[in-house]
Amino acid sequence: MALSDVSFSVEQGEVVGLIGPNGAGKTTFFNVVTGFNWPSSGKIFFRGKDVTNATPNRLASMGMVRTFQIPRPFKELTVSDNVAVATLFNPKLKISTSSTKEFLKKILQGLDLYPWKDQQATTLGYGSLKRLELGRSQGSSPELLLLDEPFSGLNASEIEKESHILRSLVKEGITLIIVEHKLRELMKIVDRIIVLNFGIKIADGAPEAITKDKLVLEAYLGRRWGVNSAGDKKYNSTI
Amino acid sequence: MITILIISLLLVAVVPATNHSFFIISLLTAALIWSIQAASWDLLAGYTGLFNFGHMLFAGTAAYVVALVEVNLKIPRPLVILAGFLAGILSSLLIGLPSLRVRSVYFVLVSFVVPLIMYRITMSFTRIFGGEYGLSIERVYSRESIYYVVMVLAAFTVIILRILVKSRLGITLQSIREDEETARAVGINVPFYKLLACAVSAGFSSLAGICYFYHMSHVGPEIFSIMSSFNVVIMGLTGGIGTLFGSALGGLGLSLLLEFMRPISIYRNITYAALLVAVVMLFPGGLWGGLVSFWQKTRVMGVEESDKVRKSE
Repeated sequence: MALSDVSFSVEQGEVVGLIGPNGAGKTTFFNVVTGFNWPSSGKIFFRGKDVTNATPNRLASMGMVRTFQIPRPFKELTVSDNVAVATLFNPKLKISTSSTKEFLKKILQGLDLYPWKDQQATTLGYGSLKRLELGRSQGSSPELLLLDEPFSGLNASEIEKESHILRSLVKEGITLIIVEHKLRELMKIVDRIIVLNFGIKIADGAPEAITKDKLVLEAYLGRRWGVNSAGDKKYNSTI
Repeated sequence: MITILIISLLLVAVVPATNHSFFIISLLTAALIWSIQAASWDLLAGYTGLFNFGHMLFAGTAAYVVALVEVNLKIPRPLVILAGFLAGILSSLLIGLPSLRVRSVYFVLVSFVVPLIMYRITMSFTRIFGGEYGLSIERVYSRESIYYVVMVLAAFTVIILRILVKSRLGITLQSIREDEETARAVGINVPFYKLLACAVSAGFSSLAGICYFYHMSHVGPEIFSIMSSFNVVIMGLTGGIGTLFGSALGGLGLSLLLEFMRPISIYRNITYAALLVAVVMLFPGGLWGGLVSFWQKTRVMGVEESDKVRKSE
């Protein structure tokens, strides 16, 4: 079982980080919440509604959008069209095509993708593709954005760019749940961190507290370090 | 657009020019019918990513329904045609619905099997469907009038499909082709749009199938055969998948080619194989792609053409 005991709630406007070692169930969690997999038990509520078995497209129109860790653009479509598709199915946009064009332009400019708007998505580099992934999610005017490792594969300056964009999204009032491995960068932007290990939630709190939590340290670094750092001198390293 | 006009004018002129030649008119009627099949196939395969190996299910169902009504009942012709048209569209559900549960790749298998079932049914129930002899009627419309109708239908098909693929629906279908899961993540109801694409494709195919019936005054189980649907695939591919015009030309070109190859028709399958290899290895954009890249090598590229080049690559 990939997830056996994960339960938490997120308030509007929060920025939550979801971390845990590989195999902890983070992506599975995303898949379940966003309708790509269905849970065998448990319930998911979004804005008061039970969305446990909702399809991804229904969730998207309700305002819950996810991005993928490895960017999945519509390869043969142009950069602009990639985001345009999202706007076509965005219930919050008015029918008028000129205002949609403006909306599209704003998104692309905010992500520094506008100069490439008529190029095929395949011509973009990895960093640009990650930003395009974000742009596509913005095209749906999300209220809750689930980001799967937005920093993976990026160098320091690209991460800086990406963080900046994420912060501006937060300013717009979008709630974020971010799965990440790059903890240092993640800590700079989140209010709260939830830790998963072996499909169980083992910690939930402010970043500083999490870094000292012994279960978390045990999950990442092994039992010896976890218990030792909590000061248990009686522990015997027989493992 | 201008090319369509010129081609249409030429096609119209053919009738008086060849002194109502039975052979030429029949040949062109068939060729145009194939081009409609290929173009409507391209909507599914090239733009939605649903590779249909049973495209003639739609045309065949429509043709058989029209035939059955003509043979057994006395109903005003417009209603008969409407019945066939609707039947053809509904038959798209036979392929569409089962394949919704699986990813687009497996659409191929489902589409391959359903016409074969129809083939068996029409072959076996001889009393209703006429078995291997099919259903025949007395000639209702003259060859010339069918020819004109088919001509208009072909132009109509290509124009309407072209408008469709450039529209929001077109972009939606293309994003389904590119990445089904991402399309879902963006808010697209993928099953619905797949069925819609099947229905639209089936609509045009059905109309062409009905024309086929009135042209031949006959329909038989061979319309549901493997080769029949496979013909459409080859035409669409060699013409240029994902380009509409290309597939339509592929339909025209290949059926004309086959006719001229009649003396050496034993080489038909080898020709098919050679064409497939050529398309896969040399001209992925098919004939249309080859034409386009030749065209843009001999003049300065505009934005629209580089779009076409990108599409064919």
